[in-house]
Amino acid sequence: MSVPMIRLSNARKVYRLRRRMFAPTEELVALNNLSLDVAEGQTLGLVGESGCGKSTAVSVMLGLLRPDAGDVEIAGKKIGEMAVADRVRLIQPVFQNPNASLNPVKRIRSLIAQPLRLHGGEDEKRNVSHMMDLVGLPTRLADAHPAELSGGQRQRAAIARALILNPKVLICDEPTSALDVSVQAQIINLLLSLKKELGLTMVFVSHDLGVVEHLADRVAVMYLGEKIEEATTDTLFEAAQHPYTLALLAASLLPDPDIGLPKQTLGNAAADPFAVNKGCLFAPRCPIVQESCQHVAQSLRPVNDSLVRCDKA
Amino acid sequence: MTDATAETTRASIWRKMRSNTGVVIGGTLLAIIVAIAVFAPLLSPHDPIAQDLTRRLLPPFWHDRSVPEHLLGTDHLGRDYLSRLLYGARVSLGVGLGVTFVSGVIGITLGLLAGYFGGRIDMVISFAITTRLSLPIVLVALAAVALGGASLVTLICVLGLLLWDRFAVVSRAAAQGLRHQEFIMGLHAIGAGLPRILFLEILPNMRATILVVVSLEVANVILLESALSFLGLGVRPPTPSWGLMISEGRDNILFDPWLIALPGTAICLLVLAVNLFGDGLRDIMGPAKR
Repeated sequence: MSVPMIRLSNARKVYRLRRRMFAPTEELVALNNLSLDVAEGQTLGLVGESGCGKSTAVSVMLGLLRPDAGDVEIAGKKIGEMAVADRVRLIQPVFQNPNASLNPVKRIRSLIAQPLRLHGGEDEKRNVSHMMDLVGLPTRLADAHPAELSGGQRQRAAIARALILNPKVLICDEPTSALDVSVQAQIINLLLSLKKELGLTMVFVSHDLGVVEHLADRVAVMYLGEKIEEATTDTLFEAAQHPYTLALLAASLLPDPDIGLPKQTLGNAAADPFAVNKGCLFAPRCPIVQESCQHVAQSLRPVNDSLVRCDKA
Repeated sequence: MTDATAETTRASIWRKMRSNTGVVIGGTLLAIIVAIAVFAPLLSPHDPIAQDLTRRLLPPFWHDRSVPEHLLGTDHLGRDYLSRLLYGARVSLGVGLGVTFVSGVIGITLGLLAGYFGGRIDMVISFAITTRLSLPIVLVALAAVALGGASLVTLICVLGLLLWDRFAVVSRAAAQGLRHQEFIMGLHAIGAGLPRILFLEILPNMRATILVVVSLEVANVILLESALSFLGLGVRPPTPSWGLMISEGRDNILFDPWLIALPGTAICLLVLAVNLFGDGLRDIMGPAKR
């Protein structure tokens, strides 16, 4: 295999914070030696519940946050050593909330053109209308403010802005979760066709498993900053191994009202990033937990076609 | 296409301005006063500092003893009161705008830095704001004028260095609210530099708020200039300033009350105009209305 387009090797990011004034600082491990490889043209789905480090992983991949340890390489070059102009032309983000990711006082034309104005110099007008065509945005909206657009149109504008410098990598941080379901499908199909047309490598962060199944080639599941399972999309959705992945899959809603609400298997408590034990991080909530899980740290091991961080699976 | 749309936006703002009573009244008044200030030499019938001791304390036109040459009478040195009032608009407006500009630049820069970075920088700047709020303006101005001598430039510098707190507080709050928005992260991702993010991206988001603060500050400064001139700390005689005119008319308040009433009314009208205009503009440009 050639050099992967995106490679995180043992990236670690720790936040030190106080929960109360004068309380001793505590460490929150947002990324715990996360390693990811995404081959060129592939899409990696990154899933996990809120607070599991997905957004930190995004910031680290974009080069906006320097990991405490480990490396991030894009196209074989370390992102920390890359010039800003090179980085910008290589990797671009699409954010969750198109209401917040576009400056409300600017016009769509200048929002889309801004990366060009900062770095390009190519024919701006032609480029902007070309990008608007590409993402299916009527050119008459070029002089509108973001507030005058619908959520889906705003997300299209955000995608156009991200793609105007022809980056090789697109990092999508939950690009559909702020949108209506009908619009979600349009944006997903747009991303799929863009990926095919432009040969994009994508990382798709989401907690909507249905979307990930539709878009991703491989899926990595995160829990409290660790990758707990990684497999191809088909393998993961047919034969998930880790109890957390199984619980996530069981919790997703299916489009059939007769099935009713999915049964909760993990209890009502969310993951507590501070209550870190020596053993498996998932042990406090695990349905198949055993005595040894409390003490023995788990490491990733291959099970069938997957990488799984659990020795009981 | 750009021009057409820009024109329609401009046209709609213009339409909204004309239907807002505050903007119409305040704006008209303000425009008249600005015109007076600009064209004072053309409008004034006399030299504002030429004395004529034989014609002291002449009353204005509605009085029996009035002289047609001096429409609004003369002061205790026989200077034409109308000319002095017209020239006085220059001082009031000049000081008001000059001070607001200086304090605005200082306050907005500090506030944006504090709000955007937070942490230690915010602590230092917030402490500076608190320190500034605890300074009595008149006393500090007194000390500064005593050291630097009373002049228009000293006055503008001193007040500009003292009155930036409101700008700082407002822009700090706005920057705090915006710094975690995704578009800021997006700007980092396209490699935008700090000055661009602060002044070209965050600042335009708070122009409505800044506009209100500007109108409050201009009004405040005009009053303050009058007060300082009245105390002898501001504009030096014989430069005509409305505050100074009130101060000079003080001795004759009993028999010639117009000496105070006229410049007082002028100050009142100008402050009213600025406030009406600023309030109206805020209503029009408020983000909720767009």
